[in-house]
Amino acid sequence: MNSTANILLNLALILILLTILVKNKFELFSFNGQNCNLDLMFQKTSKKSSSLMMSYCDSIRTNLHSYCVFSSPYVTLQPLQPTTIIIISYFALAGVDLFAFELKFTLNFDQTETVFTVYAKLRSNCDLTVLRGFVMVYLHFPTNLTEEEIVLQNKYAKLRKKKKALQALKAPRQEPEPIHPVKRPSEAKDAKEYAKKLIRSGAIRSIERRDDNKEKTTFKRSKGLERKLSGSDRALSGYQPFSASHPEDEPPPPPPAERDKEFRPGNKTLYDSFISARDKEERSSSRDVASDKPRQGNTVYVRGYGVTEQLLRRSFQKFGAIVNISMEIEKNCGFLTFDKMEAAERSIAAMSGTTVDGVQLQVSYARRQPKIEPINDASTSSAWSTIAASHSQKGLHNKDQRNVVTYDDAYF
Amino acid sequence: MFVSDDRSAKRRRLSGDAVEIEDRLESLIIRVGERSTASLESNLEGLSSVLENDLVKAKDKIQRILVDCASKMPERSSVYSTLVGLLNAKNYNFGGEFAESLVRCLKDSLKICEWDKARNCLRFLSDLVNCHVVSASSLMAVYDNFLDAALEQGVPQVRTDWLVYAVLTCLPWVGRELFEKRETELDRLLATVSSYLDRRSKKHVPALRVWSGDDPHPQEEHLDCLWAQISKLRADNWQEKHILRPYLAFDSILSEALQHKLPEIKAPPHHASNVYPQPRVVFRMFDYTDCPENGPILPGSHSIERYLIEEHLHHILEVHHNDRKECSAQLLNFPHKTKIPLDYMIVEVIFSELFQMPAPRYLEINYGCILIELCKLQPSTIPQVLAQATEIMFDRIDTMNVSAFQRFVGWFSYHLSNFHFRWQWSDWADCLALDPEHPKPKFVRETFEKCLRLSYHQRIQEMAGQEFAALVPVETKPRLRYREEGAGSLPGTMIAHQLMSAIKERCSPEEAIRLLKELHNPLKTADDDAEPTHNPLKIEVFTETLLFVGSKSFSHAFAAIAKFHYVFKVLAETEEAQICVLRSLYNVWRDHPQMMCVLVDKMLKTQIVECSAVANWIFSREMNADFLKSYVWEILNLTIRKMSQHVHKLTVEAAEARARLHHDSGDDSDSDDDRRDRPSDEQVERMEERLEQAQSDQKTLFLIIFQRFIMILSEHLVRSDTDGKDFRTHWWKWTFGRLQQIFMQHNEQVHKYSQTLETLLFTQDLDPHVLDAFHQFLALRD
Repeated sequence: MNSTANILLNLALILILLTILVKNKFELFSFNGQNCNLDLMFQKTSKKSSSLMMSYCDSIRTNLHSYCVFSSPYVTLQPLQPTTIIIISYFALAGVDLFAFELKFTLNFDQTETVFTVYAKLRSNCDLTVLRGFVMVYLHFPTNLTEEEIVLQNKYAKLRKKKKALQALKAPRQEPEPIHPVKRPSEAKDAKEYAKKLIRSGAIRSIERRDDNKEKTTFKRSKGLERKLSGSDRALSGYQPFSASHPEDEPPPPPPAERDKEFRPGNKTLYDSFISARDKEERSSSRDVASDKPRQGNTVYVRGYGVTEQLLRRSFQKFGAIVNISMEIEKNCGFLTFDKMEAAERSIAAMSGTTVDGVQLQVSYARRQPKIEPINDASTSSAWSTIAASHSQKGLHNKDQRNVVTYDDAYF
Repeated sequence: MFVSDDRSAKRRRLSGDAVEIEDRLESLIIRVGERSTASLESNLEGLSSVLENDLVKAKDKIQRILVDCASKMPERSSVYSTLVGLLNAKNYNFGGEFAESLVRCLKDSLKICEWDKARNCLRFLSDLVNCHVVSASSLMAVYDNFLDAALEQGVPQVRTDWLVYAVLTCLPWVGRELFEKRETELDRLLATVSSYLDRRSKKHVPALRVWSGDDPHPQEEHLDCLWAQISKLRADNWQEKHILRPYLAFDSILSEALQHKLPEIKAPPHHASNVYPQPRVVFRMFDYTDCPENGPILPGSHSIERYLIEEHLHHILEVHHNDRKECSAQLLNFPHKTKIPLDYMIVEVIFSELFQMPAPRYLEINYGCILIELCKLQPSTIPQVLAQATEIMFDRIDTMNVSAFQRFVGWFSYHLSNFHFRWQWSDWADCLALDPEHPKPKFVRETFEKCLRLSYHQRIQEMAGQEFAALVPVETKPRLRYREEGAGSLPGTMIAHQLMSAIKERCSPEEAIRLLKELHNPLKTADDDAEPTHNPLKIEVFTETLLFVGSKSFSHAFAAIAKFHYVFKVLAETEEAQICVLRSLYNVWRDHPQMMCVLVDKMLKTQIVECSAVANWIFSREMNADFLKSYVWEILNLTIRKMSQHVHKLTVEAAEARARLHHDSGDDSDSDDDRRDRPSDEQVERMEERLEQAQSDQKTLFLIIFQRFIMILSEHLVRSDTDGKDFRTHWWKWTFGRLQQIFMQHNEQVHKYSQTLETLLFTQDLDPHVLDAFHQFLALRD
């Protein structure tokens, strides 16, 4: 879905407004910018409503399997009404490459009126008169809502209400989020009931209790706990270049008394405890653990117009053994890793602002500081470690200096 | 994550509520062992009361999920056994029914040879003794049945080995309980195992060892090693510290529960078509002295923890090997990571899989990828451990077997290519003084050769530096003898030059043949009227010129071969002629091993040369100079593989056709469509004929290869004997190793012809050293 939306963005086409007078019929329309009876209109939508639209569409899609729903994030959400499917199957923009794709999206319309609207938009200053092409619109207007739809509609309205109510409460724990209408529609009911519970009593009490207990506070965790929580899951949390070799112990289990209090028989709580654990893992993983440490280390960042690896190696080796150099030639900078911190410190003090071979150098600590302490005496270890720790591996090292091979002699 | 298509389809069919409950139950059960805010015990207690309520409604479903978990998630078996224990305490009938369905699952897995699943089931049943679901005596009876079957005579040892292995792997879980409750019976059982182990043959061991030496770490047979670990556990009074035992917390509840008696479980009788797990030798590379001093201590090779952790790591690899990121994350997130030097254990386990004989479980590159991913995830330690491992393996490379050597070269060059080809080569400078065929310099040279394929010559030269320049392969340039100095005197030079310009002017294959006509046949003698079957001069001039013109890239060479395919077919009908083609290929591309491999592969595919021709060419005198180089064996192995794939394809086709024929003849009311698809009897017959032909070709290929091996190895032995020298030269080690490699790498195919090989080639009068390789190979399935 996103990729289709991207195609739209790339081709600078987003919003079209069609006005169609149709009821209980299938109809096929074609239009040609100027002389069709479809109006075009610009409409900007807020992020909030588009995300609401997305989630709404998702809930429909996952619940009503027979409907295919596509939503561009720029379609506004109208008051909840019967659902219709429109398939716009072909657009062409003069001056833009032809592209063919299928657009499927829901729209909502006011049943009391016979007119309804769909919004799409051209983002760039394209001349609207050059918008050509035809839009096939299949419309199916049920006179009444099906039972399923009514249930769904009510359910969604309720869910939204609950969600708002919850947001108002600013509950720090994100439990209502796992409603995930996208992935687990069957859990929606759970979440709803759970949300109800939260509002009535459970959540508030539990939050208060958590507030009492400093260890468990969620908003402002102590830094130590923060690290512990994320440390226990460090390996899973994606790229963690400079983590310590052995993460700290896992957080100690809560004291038994509290455990008992927390635990209430019944699946909701049980379920909750599983989910919240996951949530926490995810949340903690996104945080940068060591971001505010003082900048120091073995690696220095050198900037200067026209620096080369040779130049850096020549002018910096007097400060200590260089473990690794990685260049970003295009950006006129490079990173040097020394084997000792002192060497890095001295080189910054001595070299910053100096001019070597006509290149003025700015030297500072690199933002990323691989913390690599040799754990054995294999001599290549540190070089491998530095390379593994450096983020971009593309085109850092040796520029390929070979002649270009041409393959123009096609004898066969 | 557990929603699949058929399930979502089902969801629509069934009424919402029931499905919702079932799905929720499933997700609850599956996730009970995962990290959670609450303690595992409280989660288990909560879940058991939930399930108890739902037992009425969804008993079958719950049972099915639990059996699935028990048989497929061995890493969490004690969590589920506790859950079953709690349910049993609440609902006695459920416990009984669960045990019954698990037993059924075990029996089914045994029947269809799913050995790992069966082992998981047995282990789970054992763990149920700890949870008071199953009585200890009935479990002992199951073990006794297994061991009785293991003592049976006249069945393959791989079968009996597995039976003993299955029982032994349960003991870490249930040993303590049995020791407390059934000590005498347990002692008797262990005595039986011990006597079994003393009697079994260990013929396969030498062929499966990665290192032939036992210094510093003995490379033990896996069952022997497990026995040593179990014996040590027994000496420690069955106390171990690794297994999670959540049921201990529920002792008061569980001890009141009634126990069930297991029905009789017997291993189904042996059947000739059964495939059993192949024997293994444990790979050991590290001990505690290799790990950092201030870190946690590596469990000794005979401590049960070592086995349990390795088993768990292997399991993670098995489950996640397709997703390198997830796999490395899971490995690094190992539950007991703070108590062991995890980096070392992971590296050792991955290398043990990579070097696994006869063949690694997954593609070699799979392990290389995972190792790189691990480096990225844990750059502070893993790269260093890998560097250390490389040093260690290089240090012990003298005794490394040839297959493992090959894989080591492959991995190392791949790894270097991902790490800017950075390595402290100077540390290995000692090897430069050694015999060039010594494994150490050979390793460096072969690594350079592989790196060259992943990079370019200048880069490899820079990497090697002055010191190692001698081991860097020469630049990969084509040679054409007709353009070299003094070519004027060669018989075909003039035609070669004409041909070259004709090809460059895009001549047709027929024109090329016309040009070649002028070349006389050196095989033809004046007094012999018979026309020789082929003209080596024509082949030489044509092949070498063509390949030289098409030397710019693989694609150029492929295009050249495709265009002049007809000429090849005309010139090289017989095997000798095809060998001439291969010889010419070698003349042009001897400095470019990769090109040789690729082109031989191409020629096999386009049927310009046959497999047997390649085999004969490799063992021919002309290839002596390169005989010990890896690429030659790469070519031979790819040839065998090509043959096997061909046979496999025909087998499948013939089987399908036969099945269709039978299927149709049994059913008169087919539609016209079916009738049209139905193969005629003749078609099927023709297919089977083709299959037989291919099989006989395959057999011939193996016969050629092994016969040549026997010839050169025996010749070497005799020569050494008459010269009074030790026959164990480097040449012997490499050649013998290559013979072993072919047995191992193609063991499934060779196995089909082992009878023939035994009667025709590997007869009793053969030198025992050569014969050994064959017997070791037979022991893989025996």
